[in-house]
Amino acid sequence: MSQSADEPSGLTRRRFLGAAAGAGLSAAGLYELVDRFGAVPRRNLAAAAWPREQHVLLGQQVVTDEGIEVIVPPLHHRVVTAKVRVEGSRSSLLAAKAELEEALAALERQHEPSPRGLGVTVAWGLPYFRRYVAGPARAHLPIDDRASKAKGRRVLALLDAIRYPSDPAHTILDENDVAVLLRSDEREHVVAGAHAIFRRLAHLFEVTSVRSGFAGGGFSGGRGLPKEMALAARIPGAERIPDGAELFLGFTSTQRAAMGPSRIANLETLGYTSRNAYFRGGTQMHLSHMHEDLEAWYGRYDHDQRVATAFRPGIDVAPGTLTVSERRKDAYSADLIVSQYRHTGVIGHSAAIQTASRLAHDVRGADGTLYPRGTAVPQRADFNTLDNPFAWSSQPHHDGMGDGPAAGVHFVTFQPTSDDFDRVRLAMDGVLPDGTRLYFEPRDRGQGFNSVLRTTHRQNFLVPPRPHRSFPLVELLR
Amino acid sequence: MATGRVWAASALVVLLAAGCGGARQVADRAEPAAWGVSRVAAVQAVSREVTAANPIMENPKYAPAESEYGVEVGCRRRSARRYLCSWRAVNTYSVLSGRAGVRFVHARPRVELRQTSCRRHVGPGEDSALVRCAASGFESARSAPASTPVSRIEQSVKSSLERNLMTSQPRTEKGSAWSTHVRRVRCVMSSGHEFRCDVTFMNGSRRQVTARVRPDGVVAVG
Repeated sequence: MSQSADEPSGLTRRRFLGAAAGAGLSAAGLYELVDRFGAVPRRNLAAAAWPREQHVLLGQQVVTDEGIEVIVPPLHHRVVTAKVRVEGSRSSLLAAKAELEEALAALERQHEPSPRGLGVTVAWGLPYFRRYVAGPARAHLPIDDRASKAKGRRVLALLDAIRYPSDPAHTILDENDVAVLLRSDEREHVVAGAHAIFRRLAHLFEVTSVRSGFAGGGFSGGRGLPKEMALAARIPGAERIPDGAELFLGFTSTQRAAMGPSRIANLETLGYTSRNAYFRGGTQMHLSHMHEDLEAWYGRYDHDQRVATAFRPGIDVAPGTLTVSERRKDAYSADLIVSQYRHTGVIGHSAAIQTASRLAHDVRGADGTLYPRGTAVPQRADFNTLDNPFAWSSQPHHDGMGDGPAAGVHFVTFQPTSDDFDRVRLAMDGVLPDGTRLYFEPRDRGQGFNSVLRTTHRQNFLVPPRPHRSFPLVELLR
Repeated sequence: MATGRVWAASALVVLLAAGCGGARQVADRAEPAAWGVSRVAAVQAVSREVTAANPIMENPKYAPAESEYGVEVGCRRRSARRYLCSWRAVNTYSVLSGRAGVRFVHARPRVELRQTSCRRHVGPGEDSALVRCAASGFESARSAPASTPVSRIEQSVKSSLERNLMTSQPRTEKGSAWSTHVRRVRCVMSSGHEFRCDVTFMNGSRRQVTARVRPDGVVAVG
């Protein structure tokens, strides 16, 4: 790339924003630039068959960066949320179920189950279960035994999203019936997937938001995709994103040791849930959107401070390092986090999260796999975005749609239960699993990331296994 | 001339009063805050001050955040530029703790430390542990030592002398005027780390010794 930061790729801001107009399902807009800036990763493994788990995407490339194994995520991402617009009768719902399943199966026939093809994950929110299948849901929604024991009452694996201590008071807790995550290295595949489900089946769904973005693209040299995109969008602070960064905030987040192995996020694998027969092979998905203030991140923190707050205080890494080792054996305990906080006033984002996101002891999973102590549980599928906050919204005022692009992240993570996500997210705010609460003031600089993130929307979903992905539990209605 | 003496005496009284209270204002050690005006900057300023006031904490083994040792600080914001903090300094010998006020002036933190307790952590012997704890505490207030640590220095001198003398001059006669036992010790600080002590023995004899507080907190009697 030879363009300067001032003249990114020959695009004017007007042309750039013009490209972003016409949002909606088929919106390409500024994300067409992803194909221009981001080299499509070379995928060696062609996945053979679709797994039972919808959330597991096979055939992801693993590269080595600074001696650390890093998973290269699919280049293009899109999440479409919707309300179901089917009347509540059993016959109507069964017909809708058949139609959606046929559409999904057709997509599977057209695309291989890997980033080269198309990953489709259909997830359902509590409003759907309450409104359409309340009876079967009462009998079949998995129970989170661990949370039930901790709280002294029955807790479901799928819970309404909450606002966390560092969230703004105006964070919107969404109430969508369904969310579909589409992932591919090919933008056309993502667009085709969105069309096949939400345009051809428009009589079944009322789309509420379209959320688009990109991930990776920083491993093939040059400035890297996030920086190119942010520069093109004239995002304040974009010029300070390090060359080769995987994400806007600079550090590599998809290293293999920090990502949950294939089936660990399943509802049943770690034994967190019971009454999970119907949803065996499924998981829980958290979806949120956060604005990222790149100017504050790169302007208020020097590299050492960014490392200290992103990973842990006192860590020794060479200047400019973007991929910092987070090995299984280095998982942090709550005691250590408290000690670090009291010595330095800083909480390391990654280290704090690990108190809740890593296994505290060896676990033999329901799938027979031994997951050693320190293994990461969450399977993240987050991606950077220039949506503000969405590419398209059915309620622009309610969703706070802004003019022009804005740096952010659509955070998608798969974890066994909503409570498991709560534990991890609370640890990020200094509320540790052992009950310790570390004091932070609003926008506290000692929280690093948290001080430059502003969450706009949150919702939890249940991801059924592939056989039940279409209108789950409908067949059990009487 | 007389007025000048009154002012000097008044200043001395004020200084001593501040010293006895265990509080002192630190103005010159403040560095530009890399963390801006923030809780983190306040924490780190207090940590720096406690370390500077207790040289034993400068030992690198007390520095790592992962260590059980070191200076721990918790701060809460009281107003836009003021933080109220509590701190604890743990070394091999002692656990010192106290409070601190941090005020940011032109983005520079000004720290006011107050030590409120000093207790034994671990040590090879009961006496020495107490003394080392006191010694560490002493160094936190070089300019105005509190009265209690002096008495502990005196206790250390007494114990040390008696141990040495009992070995070199064993008692031979019951009821004799013991030259091996100390009746009284009075110490006065002669410099930042040294104390001049007058020792009176049970037999009425007197001796002057110097007690020196080493950087590791140990009191050496010479």
